[in-house]
Amino acid sequence: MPNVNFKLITEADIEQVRLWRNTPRIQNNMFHRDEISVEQQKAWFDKLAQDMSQQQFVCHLDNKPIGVLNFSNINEDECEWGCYIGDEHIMPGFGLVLAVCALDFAFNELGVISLNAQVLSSNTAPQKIHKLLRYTVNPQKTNSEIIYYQYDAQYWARNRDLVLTLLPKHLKIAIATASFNKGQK
Amino acid sequence: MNIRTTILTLINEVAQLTDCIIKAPLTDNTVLLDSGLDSLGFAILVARLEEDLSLDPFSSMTNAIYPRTLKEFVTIYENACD
Repeated sequence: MPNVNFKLITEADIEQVRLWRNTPRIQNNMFHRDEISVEQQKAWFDKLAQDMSQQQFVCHLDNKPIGVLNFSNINEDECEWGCYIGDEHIMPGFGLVLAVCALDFAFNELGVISLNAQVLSSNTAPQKIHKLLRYTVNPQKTNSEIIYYQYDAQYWARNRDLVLTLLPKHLKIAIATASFNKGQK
Repeated sequence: MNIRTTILTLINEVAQLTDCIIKAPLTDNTVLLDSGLDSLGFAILVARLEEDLSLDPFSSMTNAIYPRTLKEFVTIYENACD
């Protein structure tokens, strides 16, 4: 049985995360596409420890780091999430696991009432996931370059079981094993 | 139809179904994350393979080894069939 665990990023993770983040497959789907240097990554991490408005997790699949799940702009009411898969040895369809875990963590652990996401209009893979999971597009904010999504906690409580029925068994098993090590900031 | 052919046929069907564009002719060395099939596509592919082959190796793995390339993906299904 797979095991999915999210651990708050540590200094030991940041070089691996930087290398993932700089791969063209990931870089091309980001809002900021500049190459990230070692120094920039270190500065980012140093600031992160003091920043209560964001939480950055490294996702471990069977105890192996495979990607990043992050929450930003966290306040009492809402936050925003993003993710990427860095490791190329991956459970097929794993992006859906990250997406479901993001909703579960935002509403069950962070306790926000709304989870937001921004996706480049050219990045179709997450758009399909957001549609499957029944996100709402925010038409006021959405423009030709960026699609703004929103999910309310009450709708996730209503939709979660239905959404899970749409997923293949191996992804449901992975989601059922998922846990977060929040640690201390 | 052998397992490799079934998988290749279904990848193309799922790509059409999900509006994915397979970036180049698929070879044994094609990295799955670079193939053009996205997460939703792979989720559907695994579900379709369970229907067509009655195999669901990713649910029953005890020591999980996840595939990087098309060859590794096919091998997982071939081994599950043995």
